[in-house]
Amino acid sequence: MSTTIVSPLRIFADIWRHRYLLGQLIKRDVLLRYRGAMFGVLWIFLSPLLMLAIFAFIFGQVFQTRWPQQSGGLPFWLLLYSGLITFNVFSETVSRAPASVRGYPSFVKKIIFPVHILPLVPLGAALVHGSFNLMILVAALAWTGGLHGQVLLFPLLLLPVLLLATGLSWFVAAWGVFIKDMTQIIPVFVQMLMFLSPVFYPVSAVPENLRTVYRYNPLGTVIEASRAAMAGQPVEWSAWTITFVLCLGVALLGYAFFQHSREEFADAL
Amino acid sequence: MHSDSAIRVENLTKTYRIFGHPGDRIKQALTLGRIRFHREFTALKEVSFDIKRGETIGVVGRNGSGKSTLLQLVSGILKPTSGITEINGRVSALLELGAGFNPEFTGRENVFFQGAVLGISKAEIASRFEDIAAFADIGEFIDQPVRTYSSGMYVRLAFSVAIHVQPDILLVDEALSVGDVEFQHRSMKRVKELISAGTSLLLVSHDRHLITSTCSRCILLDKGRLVMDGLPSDVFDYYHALTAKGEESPQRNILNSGRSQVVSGTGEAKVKSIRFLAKDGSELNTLDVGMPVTLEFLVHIYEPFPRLVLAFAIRDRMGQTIFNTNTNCFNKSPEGLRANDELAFRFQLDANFGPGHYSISSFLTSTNDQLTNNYESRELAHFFEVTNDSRPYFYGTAWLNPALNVEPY
Repeated sequence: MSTTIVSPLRIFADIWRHRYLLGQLIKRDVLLRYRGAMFGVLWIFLSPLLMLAIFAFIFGQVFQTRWPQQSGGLPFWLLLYSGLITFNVFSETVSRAPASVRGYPSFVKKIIFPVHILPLVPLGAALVHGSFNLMILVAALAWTGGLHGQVLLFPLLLLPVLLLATGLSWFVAAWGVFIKDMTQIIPVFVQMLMFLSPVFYPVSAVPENLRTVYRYNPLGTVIEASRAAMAGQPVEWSAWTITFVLCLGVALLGYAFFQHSREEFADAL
Repeated sequence: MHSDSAIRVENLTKTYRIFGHPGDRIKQALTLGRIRFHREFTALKEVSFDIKRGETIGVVGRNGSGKSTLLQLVSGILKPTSGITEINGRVSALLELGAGFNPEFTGRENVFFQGAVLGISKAEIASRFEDIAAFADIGEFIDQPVRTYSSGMYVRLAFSVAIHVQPDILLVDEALSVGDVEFQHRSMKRVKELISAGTSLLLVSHDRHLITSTCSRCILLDKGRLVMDGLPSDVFDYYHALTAKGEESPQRNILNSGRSQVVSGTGEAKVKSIRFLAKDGSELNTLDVGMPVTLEFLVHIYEPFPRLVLAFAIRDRMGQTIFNTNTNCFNKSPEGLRANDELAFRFQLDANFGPGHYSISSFLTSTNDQLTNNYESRELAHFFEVTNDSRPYFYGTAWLNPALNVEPY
């Protein structure tokens, strides 16, 4: 495999070329989930809304939780929710990645298909859900009076997580073809990662000597940055840029690994 | 560049790595492939051929001879272990009809999706959509999810898409024989139009008639090797001889067709060979309708017994007996048999069968029924094919040798 193949621009151009296929697959993926449900696609909107309502009630009314260093005076449940939006995009994508290629044996074995776009389908679906979550967050911020213009940076700040999720998905999807257990293993790891990332707490609450470890968790950097953006505080761009480069590397490696192993997919499925 | 060739294949070999347990694959990966945990299975071995533009090639061979692997390699779904495939032009493959269909999408959406899979722009598909829908002829089902389709409708739509994308190379794996008769005729006509417009066709089928009538050349695969490349009728004759030879060995009781050949009996006598002979004494594997032939049974006697009746039944593909007789009916059952006697039974008959595939079962007994003294009964002992090369078109299992007069009355 020559180095030119893993040029990011080429990969992007190739994915862009298949945008119609990818769009159709994502559309089907999202619509299928809500097919037959009484409220149908309305659930995309309803379920995060219910979640947020519960957070607001439990942490706002029952526990009255506050962080040690409260960011911008925003209520805890909104800070928690903003972290979860980022983390859910990652977890939904990566948890479903092991089955993303395995679930389409006929695309691998019976027709000529750009198989490498299949692991991007869960990402697309996660982004659809993520954007609805974000809309609800913005609405909640406006309602509580904490809306700040910087919240528009949210999608941009999310970029490293998208790259990380894509790269890991390519890895995990390829492994998932050969080892069925991946569909069981990955969600457990993702769950563990949720507690190891600063979703329920700020990095500043972590003991000083462990904080350097947290700096290497791209999810943590992005969650902290997006939280800062939401609260109207300065974003740590240097840390974000390093994370971006790191995640880009993961994406390229994932792609290279996927392309390297895809020749065996048809034999293994 | 071989600009006049559509497909060029050189020394194509495909070896599958078979892992006994999924964990073995990980073990091998962890040792960086230094320790082997797999067996190898070579599905295709050093196959070379060249297909010109507009040429139509049939591919025949027994199940597991590598035909489907060959099509998958040519279409680019599989990567060869070694060797070269050179493809010039757009490939449309019908390996499994409707394989890329999404059951939850409507027929219309699937047509666009399939088009995109083949790399055709939305506008191009849109301009052909009316033709595709008209050819599939499934009415308003085109706007229903394809999971609601009957298998016939599924096939019609998939086939219609495959042939309307202007392929330079069309790969078909035993797919033409689906759909109703009317659709089959329309498909054949359309495929022939494509061929005359310069499309190359690679067709995998067991149907002799389909291949001889469609293809100008035929290749025969056996155990992954290309064993013959020539005129379809020659290749089929050789293919039949090959399969017939394979079935002579007594151990092989599961036939290639998946049917099981039941051989039973006490073994005092055995049928050693069954064959059709032409007038000049040459062996025939394919009979022309109505031709005079000799059906020969060679029988070996192992232990002495008083009287031998040989019966045989000719059955069609569905297992219906279309002819059954025995030596007693001719009052020619031999008596006083001794060990190591060898007898040839030769029935002169006219092959008044309809075109198709038939089997012969043989029975060696002492009376008319097969229950008392069953020396040997051999189901599906021999297979033969009948083709209609010289008679007017007809359909059915019997040839009644009709003549026709039309006059005013």
